[in-house]
Amino acid sequence: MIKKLNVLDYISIVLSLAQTTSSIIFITFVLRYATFSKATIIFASVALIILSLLIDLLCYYFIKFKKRWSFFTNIIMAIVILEITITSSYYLGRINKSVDNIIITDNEQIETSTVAFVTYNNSNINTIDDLKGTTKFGYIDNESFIAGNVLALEVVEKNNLKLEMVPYTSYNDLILALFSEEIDVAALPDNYYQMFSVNDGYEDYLKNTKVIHTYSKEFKVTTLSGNDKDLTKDPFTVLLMGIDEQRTDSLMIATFNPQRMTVTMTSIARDSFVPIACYSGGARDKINHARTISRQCTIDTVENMMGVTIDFYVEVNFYGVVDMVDAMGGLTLYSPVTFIGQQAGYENDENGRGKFVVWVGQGWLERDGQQTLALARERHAMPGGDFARQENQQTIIKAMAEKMLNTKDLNKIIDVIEAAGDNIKTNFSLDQISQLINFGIKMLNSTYEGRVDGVDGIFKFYNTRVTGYESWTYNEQLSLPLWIYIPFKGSIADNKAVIDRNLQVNTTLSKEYFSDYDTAYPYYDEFSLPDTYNEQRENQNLPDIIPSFTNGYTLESIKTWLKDRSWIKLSVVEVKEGDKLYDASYMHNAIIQQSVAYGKKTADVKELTVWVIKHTVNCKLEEYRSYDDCGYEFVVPEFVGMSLSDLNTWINDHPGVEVRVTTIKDTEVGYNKDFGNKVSFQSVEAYTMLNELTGPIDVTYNKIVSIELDLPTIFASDKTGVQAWFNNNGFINTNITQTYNDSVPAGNVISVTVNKTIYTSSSTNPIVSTDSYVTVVISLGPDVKITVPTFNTVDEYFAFCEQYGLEKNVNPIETTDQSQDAKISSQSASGEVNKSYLETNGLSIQIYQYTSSEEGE
Amino acid sequence: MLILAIICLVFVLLAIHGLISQANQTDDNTVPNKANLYEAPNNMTNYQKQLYDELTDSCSKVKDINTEDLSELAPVVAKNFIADYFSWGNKRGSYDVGGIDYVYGPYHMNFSFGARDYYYYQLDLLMKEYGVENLPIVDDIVIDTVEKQDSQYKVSIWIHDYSNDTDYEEPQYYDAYLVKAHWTYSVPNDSKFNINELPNKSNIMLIVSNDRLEVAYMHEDYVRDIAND
Repeated sequence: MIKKLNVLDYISIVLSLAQTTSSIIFITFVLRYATFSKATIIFASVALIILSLLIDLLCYYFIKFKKRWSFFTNIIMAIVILEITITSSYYLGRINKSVDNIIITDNEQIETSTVAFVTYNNSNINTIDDLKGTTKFGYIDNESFIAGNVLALEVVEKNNLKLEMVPYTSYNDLILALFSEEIDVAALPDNYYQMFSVNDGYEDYLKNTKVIHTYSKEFKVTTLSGNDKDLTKDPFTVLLMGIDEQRTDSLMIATFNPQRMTVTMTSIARDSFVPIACYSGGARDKINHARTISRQCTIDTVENMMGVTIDFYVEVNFYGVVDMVDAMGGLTLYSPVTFIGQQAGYENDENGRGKFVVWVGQGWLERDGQQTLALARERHAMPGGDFARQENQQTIIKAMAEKMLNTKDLNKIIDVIEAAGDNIKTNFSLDQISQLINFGIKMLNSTYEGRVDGVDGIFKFYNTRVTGYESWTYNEQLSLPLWIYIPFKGSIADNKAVIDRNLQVNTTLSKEYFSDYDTAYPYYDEFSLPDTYNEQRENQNLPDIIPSFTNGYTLESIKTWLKDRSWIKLSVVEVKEGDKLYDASYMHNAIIQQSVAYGKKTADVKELTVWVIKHTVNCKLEEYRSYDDCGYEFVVPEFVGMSLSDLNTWINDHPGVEVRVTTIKDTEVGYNKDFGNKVSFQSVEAYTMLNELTGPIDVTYNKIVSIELDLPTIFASDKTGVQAWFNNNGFINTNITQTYNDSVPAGNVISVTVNKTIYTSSSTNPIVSTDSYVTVVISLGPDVKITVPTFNTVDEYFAFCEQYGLEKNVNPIETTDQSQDAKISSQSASGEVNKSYLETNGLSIQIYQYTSSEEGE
Repeated sequence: MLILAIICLVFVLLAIHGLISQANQTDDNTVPNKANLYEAPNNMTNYQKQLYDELTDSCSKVKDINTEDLSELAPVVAKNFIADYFSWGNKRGSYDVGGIDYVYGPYHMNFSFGARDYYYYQLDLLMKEYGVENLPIVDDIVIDTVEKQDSQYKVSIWIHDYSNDTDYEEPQYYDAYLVKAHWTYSVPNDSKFNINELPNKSNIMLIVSNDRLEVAYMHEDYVRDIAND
């Protein structure tokens, strides 16, 4: 007979079943990460299963025997297990979703490609229906180009378009053909604007284009599958790609040797002009364009370029860096300069480019995500340009890895993984990632007291870069240069050698085992490859062109640039609040427009106008003090506390400003003893704009008149010290002379004369007025006797003068005796002579100069 | 049944604890000896264990390291340093630089980097070529001389001032002992590694720093005169 179940029975059953289901789900999730700690996770899973079954048994026991203790035990344990497993499953579920986004397990993936048919704004073509037989249609003659070839030809075929087909080998050639109106329509990837807007000078042409048709389709894309190496034992390579709008803006090959614990990071400049693997005939293009074809194209291109096999790749969308760093709580990074960087994504202008609004300060500072990305992208402001940018990228990767390995906050780890989920792609397997993380944590903690701590104490980084030289192609028709960077063959070979060594490839053992060490000569990591190589360069001379002033130039730097181009007249238009072009998001003094396009030859330019953003500036507020408008030449300074010499310097530098100085001597009423020899009052507030002054500035200077002459200090000082002592104590009539002296060593003071009283080192310190006339005589040491020889030739005389730093003085005297021509007639001194005499009177010679008797008549 | 359930719950909690503490695991297999001023190296050879015991014994005899003559402690410290630094057969990789604990403190990282780019540079290749078990270990060290120095040893600590991007020197002076030693290596009988190519002597300057003796320099062939530093 089946017992009838009551409410408590049902409660018990429901909770038991729920906790069993929840436990199973949790175990399913957690087993995925078993590599982290196989034994522990399996052990815990088995224990959880047993516990879960026991709870079910308790439920059965209660239903059968109705023991109250079994009911409460069952309920409490079920609730506890439910709580633990549901919460854990929730977090694991979040992690799983992100991990699934990041890890590409299948080397064939479905990606959507879109082609855009692009023409120029003033074209009569507005839809594909307007395309006729005479329309010149540009496309890519290579099936690897999905958008420019496959999709484009599909649209043409589907719509039965009869066009004049014009083939090109690269998107860059195609878009330049469109700019120069060689063709009417171009088949380009739909994000062509963002792709090419980073090329200086393209933006003005891009703004004049429009899209008349788009077509999307899903494609199977094959990318490098992972490698099953044991990453804790075997060296491996990783290609790190930083992506921005399908361009590889950052490219780095990293290799890791777990036995040496060394990491090499080799940066490849994004503008490297190299054969692209998927272009017909391996034609050359900027390496960052390879990604517009496919990820695999980039990988193949790098492998071909460097002669290195890539085992894994990690592709990071730039937006991902912002989110990940913010999730980590920021990074402490060093910047050598303060600059305004470009903002990433989200609040871009209508064309998708970030505005220059991210402030990055000089020094070691905590950086948020936007600042970190700005630092990773900046090259114009960096001393070192693109190389500094590459170094910064390597530093940031290292800092992110170190922060993650040292983080124990689970919430932070999950936030970072979620941030990564939408923005990172890799072909590392989950097991391999777990293996690496485990290994990293284990190595970081594998220390004993005295062992060096931190990431740098375990992992040794070798940072290199493939260097090259600048070159250009110049499009005369468009007045547009295309800046390219050609890698040195030697640099490629040297970088490959570094990579090969770390991978233990093609290495030979040396028999040298140098072991010396000395704290007096600490080890200096001199590992660096040359920046230049002596190779033949292919270079097309670029004419002098107008730069893109909106890219980091200031008004001052434009004026400096124009110094060598004096034929160009500069006009400046200030754009203030309320003006049509005004945009508050731009930094103060940012150049936002220029009248002459980038790339135009300067020889053809007579006038140039730039538009400068001018916000309302209040120099009295701290936040505006760094602006140029609040600089030295524009505002009233902090006179209070200033010395007299600084005050006079400022007055001399500002001849248009009236400053009335009232001097109060230390013997007079009103003297402020806290400001001895300094300004104590100013009538106009500091940081008032000079152009707002309505009258003179009154300052009060407190002068120490009576002062004790500190003879011991003065006599112990050298010339610089003496001058400084008298300057700092407000003396205004000080004269320092030097003379030879047999008893006083060189550099020492011989005497100090104040007005007409002479003081020596043994004199008592007198009290003197700072208005006094002071002469300090400093010894040049004993006068040296020099033997002046009798000169036989002018050359001998010249050599003697150069040896002793004497001025050459040759006086010709005429002679009609040709045999005497150029011979020395006499000299002003000979034999043993005091050096001081020669320095005062000089040393001259007279030489005969032949003139014929006919000339003399 | 209830007890079984509680036992399982305890196991689960222990497993979770084990998972969390895995992040803090180390693979050191040594027991630190508090009587010794120096941490025991990882994976000591038998000879190193013997030397470490001697070091413990020597350290215990020193009452005030800053005033006593350390001519008996110095050679023992030098031996322990030599045995740890120059032995390869007990190392995990090129990064596992021996002897760091014996080096003057502020220069640990510098010493480690120097070793990894010089003496330990090829260790990973040697391990791959010969196998770590066939690599040499120091098996006997002979002290030639121990000399207390008349002059103090000067170490320059360079500090970088980020506010004005300059470096300035802060010299430190220490009492010093010069130890000269030579040693031999051993390898397994069937090892093909040629130990004759390895350095087997050194002049080591030890300084009294951080309440113990620390290595300030080691040179295979010459002694640097510290009187003129």
